[in-house]
Formats: sequence, C-alpha cells, structure tokens
Amino acid sequence: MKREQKKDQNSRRELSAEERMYMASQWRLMARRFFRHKIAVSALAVLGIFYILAIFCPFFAPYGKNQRLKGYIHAPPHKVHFVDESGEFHLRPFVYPHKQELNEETLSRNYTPDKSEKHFLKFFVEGKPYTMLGIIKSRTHFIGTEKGKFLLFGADEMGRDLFSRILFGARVSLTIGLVGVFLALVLGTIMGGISGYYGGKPDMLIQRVIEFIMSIPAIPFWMALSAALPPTWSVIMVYFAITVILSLRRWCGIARVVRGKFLQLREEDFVVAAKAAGASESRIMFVHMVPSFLSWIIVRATIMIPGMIIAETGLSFLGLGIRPPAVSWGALLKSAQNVQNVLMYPWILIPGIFVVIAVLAYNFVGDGLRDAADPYQ
Amino acid sequence: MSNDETTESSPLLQVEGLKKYFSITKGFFSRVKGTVKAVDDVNFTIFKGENVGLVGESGCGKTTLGRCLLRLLDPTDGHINFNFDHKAVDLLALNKKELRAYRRYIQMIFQDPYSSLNPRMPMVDIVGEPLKVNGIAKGDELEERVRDLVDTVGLDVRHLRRYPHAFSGGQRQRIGLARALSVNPPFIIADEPTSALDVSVQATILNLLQDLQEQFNLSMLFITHDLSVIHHICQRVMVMYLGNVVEVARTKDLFTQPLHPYTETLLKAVPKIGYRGEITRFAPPGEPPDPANAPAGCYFHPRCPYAQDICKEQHPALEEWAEGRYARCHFAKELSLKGVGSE
Repeated sequence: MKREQKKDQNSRRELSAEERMYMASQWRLMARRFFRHKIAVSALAVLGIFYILAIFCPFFAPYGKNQRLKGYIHAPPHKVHFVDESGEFHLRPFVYPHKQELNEETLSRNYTPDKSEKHFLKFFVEGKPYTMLGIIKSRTHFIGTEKGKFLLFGADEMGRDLFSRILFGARVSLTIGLVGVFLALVLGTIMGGISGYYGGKPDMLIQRVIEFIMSIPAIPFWMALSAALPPTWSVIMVYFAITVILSLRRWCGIARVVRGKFLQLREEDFVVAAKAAGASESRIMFVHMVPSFLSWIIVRATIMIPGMIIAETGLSFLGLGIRPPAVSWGALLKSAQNVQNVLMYPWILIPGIFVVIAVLAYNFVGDGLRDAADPYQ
Repeated sequence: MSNDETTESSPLLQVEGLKKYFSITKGFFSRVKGTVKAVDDVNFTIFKGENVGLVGESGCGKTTLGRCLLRLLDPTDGHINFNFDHKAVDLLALNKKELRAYRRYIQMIFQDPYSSLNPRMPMVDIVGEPLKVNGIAKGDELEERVRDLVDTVGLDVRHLRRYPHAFSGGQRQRIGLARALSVNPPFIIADEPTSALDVSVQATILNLLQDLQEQFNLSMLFITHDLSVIHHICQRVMVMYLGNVVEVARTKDLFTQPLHPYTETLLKAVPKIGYRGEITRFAPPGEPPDPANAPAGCYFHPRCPYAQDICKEQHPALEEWAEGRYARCHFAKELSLKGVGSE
C-alpha cells in the first residue's frame, strides 16, 4: 500500500521530456544547445586543462621559473623514448642525458644525447621546494627525473627550462585576459547603460568620449601608457597596470553595443508592458532589460579574451608589458625577436604555439556560446 | 445592442485637446527641422462598460494615441480625465510617483504576442507581475490569483511554470490578456490584439474578449485597422486620419451611412465574403500624405473624390451633425455616402 503511494508520487514527479523542455528557462536551453556543440565543448576542456596547469604551475612545472640549470644553456628539447638502443621496449618513458660540447670554431654549444645512460621519467618526484598559492609548501613535482634533467621544450639562453616557464607564463597570460575583460565589461556596461537608458546630454558626452578614445591608434596608445609606468613598480603592480591599460580601450566597443541594446529594449513590448503594469525603473532595468542581453555579454566577453591575450603578448614582446623577472608568453617570445636565435634555437617559438591554442580555444567556445545564445538561428 | 445603455452611463475617460507632436531634429546641435503632429487635438469620451473602436491606416497615430492615454508617451498638450471610484483625476497632471499608483487602472493588450512577453519569465511570473509590482498580492496568494486568471482566459493551470516559447501565438495572447486583467482594471487599451493571429484564432480571442468584458465590466479602446473586428465587438467607432479624428459614430450608423469620405473609402476597401457580383479591388487613391508636411486645408482633400475649392483652404472642424455623430468634413450633410449595408 505504502509502496504504491510512493510509486504514484514518483510518476508525478517524473515529467515527460517534452514537459521539461517547455519548462526550461532560456539559460537551460542555452546550456543544452552549447553542450551539443562538440568543438566548443572540447575547446572548453582544453581551456580547463590550461587553467588548471596555470593555477598549479609550481607543482606541474618540473623546475622553478627562474631556476638555472647548469650546463644547459640553449639546450634543445629532450626526446622522450620508449625504445632504447638495443631495441628493448620500456613501459616507462625515458630521456638520454645531453652532453654539452663547445665548438672551438663557432663558439656554439653542441648537445649530443649520451645513449649510455637512461633517465626514466617519474610522476611525483622530489625537486626544488616551492610555495603554491601562497599556502601549500611542498617539494613534490608532478613529473621529472630522479637523476639528470628533463627539458621537454628545451632551455633558454640562461639555461632555464622552457616548459616550466611556459606554465608560469600561462598564469599571467591567461588571467590578464579575464581580469582585463571583466574590467572592460563593468565599465562598458555602466557607461553604455547610462548612455542608452537616459539618453540626452549624458549620452552625447559618453559617445563623444568613446569616439575620442577610439580615434587614438591602439599600439601607440598602449605604448605611451606602459612607457609611463614607473620602473620601480613591483611585478604585481605592473601586471594590474597593464590590464587596466588594455581594458581602457576595450570598454568602448562594449559601451556602444550596450547602449544600442538599451535603446532597442526600451521600445520592446514586454518592457513597455512592465512599465504599463507599474513596475519601477530599477525592476524594469534589472529584471527585464539586463537579463535579455546578459547572454550576449557573456558571449562577447569570451570572444574578447583572446584579443586581450594577444594584446598582452604583443606588448610584452615589444618589451612594454610584463617585464622580467615576471614571465608571460609574450615576455618569453621576446627572445625570439632575434632571427639568429630563431634559426639556431627554434624551440623558443613554442610559447607562440600556446598563444595560438589558447586563442583558438577561446574563439571556439565563444562561437559555441554565440550559437547557443541566439535562439533564432 | 447596448447602445442606449452606454450613452446613459457615466463617462469613464474624457480626453480633451490631446496633442502629441514629435519634433524632427537634424544635425549636431539638434536643430528642429519640422514637427510631426502624430495626435492633433483629439477629443473623445469613453463611457463605462463601452467598447470604442479606433480605426485608421498605418501611421495615422492610432498607436501613439493609445500610448499617450497610458502615458507611456508624454503628450504635448491636453487633458485626460479619468473618473473612477468617484474620483476624477487628470492623468496628465500626475507626477511620476502618483502615476505609478494609477497605472493599474489602465492596462494594455499588445499587438505582437511574441515580443510582448518576456522570454525569460515563466507564465506565472508574467501574469503575476502587475499584482506583484503594485503590492496587491504575493507568495501563495499571488499564485492562487494567477491560477484563477489563467483558468479564466482558458489556459491550462498545469502550464504555469512554462516559458513563453512553449506556447502558440493564440495562447500567448491569452497570457497577455490574463496579465492585463490581473489588476482588475476598469479600462483596457487593446492595440491590434488580433492582427498578428490567424483568422480562426482571431475569432476565439475576440469572443474571449467579449466574454471577459461582461464578466469584468470593462471598458475598452480597441485599436485596429480591421473593420470587421470593429463591427464584431465595438459599440462606437472613431476614425483617425493623419492625427485627426475625422468621424465618430455608433458602429451601426457608421457602417450603414458614413459621413466622412475617408470612412467611405475604408468601408469600400473591406473584402466581402459571399458577395456574388463582380469583384472590384479597391484602394484609396494615392498615398497617405507625409505627416510632417500635412496638406493645407482638409488633410484628406488630395485623395478625396468629392473635394471642392473650400477643402483646399479651410481645415474643417469636428462637428456634430446628428445625435452622437461627429464628422470633420465641410460637406458631411450634403454628401450621401455609401456604407456596406446599403448595397
């Protein structure tokens, strides 16, 4: 008897798939459409991995970001082997240690793998102690070798491991976009909102300011501002200054579109209906108008982040952004300014590949979000 | 017909000299280049429990007039006297705060059932919004009242949590209706509520409107360009042309014998079903004139088949030619115009 009652309740609670669809809010419909977009979802996964690597970089990086490895200046990437000289297969991958020789004539360092010795790669090896996220103290690194060194992407002119530096650089490069876009969005939405909702004189003023800012060429604008940063500033202060500089231009585009959205929504019937019903101004704005373009803002933000990443990379490449001892992908690429370096040590271009992957992933996610947010496609 | 009753009952809404001018500005310093007289000196009265139709071509100012009555647009000049609860208030004299308190007495039904419902709100929130923002009900009581309303307009109460995308056009229009009725307003402005629906659904919505009108004792201003809808549901009709009311009459009178040539052209343009004679397509000659640049004299004279010299010079006034019959034409008495019933 009791069981039957329970069963009845269950069947009532279980709505048909169709009914669930009808009762789905716009957000749930959007999420559903997004997760059908395979490329976007895989791009999202890639970004997820990048951010995890960036957040926990001291753990994932085999070495410290400024740790110099003696005898490894401009060392090429280590090849990871499974099969040794004698043709024997090893389940655990290994690297051959590099032997450094100085060419007497050209004074260049030549590295040859020493095949007599095998250094096996291991997870969770002990290495240089570090402090992660300011609280976790440890010496365990995710991957490494117990003897010798493991340089997945080679080393730079000071013998620092490029792979480790890329992970540390990701922290700056991937977050500068987020923080910058967030600032630009907040500024753009407020200014655009005032402009669009109130119109008249404030609108006029804001629009002229935007036109003025947009008329200044981007690169000289950024260069002038970042050149004006006091050299005595700490790494973190420079980092925030650069984000502010980048977002100072970006908010203009957002403000314009938000203004347009407000103008358009002000005339929309459901907003008029809310007004006729006697709703207050703040209710009209925050219950009816803002949610209508919130999805658009999210899409826009996702599409803007790669632009920010590229801008940071560009500035740092020119030596105007993130400066040593801080690392970012752009700062790493700075050593690739010299053609000779690129020819002789092509692996210093690897940070560029990471920039490309991150930018593409963001674009795919943005694409997927845009398709999902636009119900009329 | 309830004509006799309505004329005896007391006025609900008296509009006097209502004007809405839009200035056309140009250039950096917003110089005024011209004025569009969207609503120009409109006077009318709507009695309690009465349906008044408002017809006219696109762009004649029908919708602007409706929005002025709600003060969604601020009229340039005039008075809107609203008599309710033994109080008479000039809606145009109210400040923002006072106006919000009065919003609940006049509600609106919109033309487009797709854009008039917020796609991000479930039905229960849409219908309950006027109750909520006016502090009439909240929580369980709110939901109970929404349930009743939803049931009244013929929707399924089990669908309360559905979002607008789950409803058809006709169902959405019912939601809009329930929302307008939620605060129990004495007066509703219906801005072409059926023109976005297909014909079979139109009929059900119109019948529903009529039923509800009796049930809630509503007065309605029914804005439309569809004369058959007017014929079906309104006791009196106002005809608008270029911001002016050109004719006011009881529906029956207007259809049998119009007094203004413009009304005649409108009636002629109505297609007839079951008419066995030769089918003549009819459209009023010419285009409606530019409202920013209205012709001198009678606004209709360039398109009027009966125009004389005086029409080009003198703008006629809206005069009462017979009891309850007003027309803005110099020759309203002389012309004997054809209606639809007279064939």
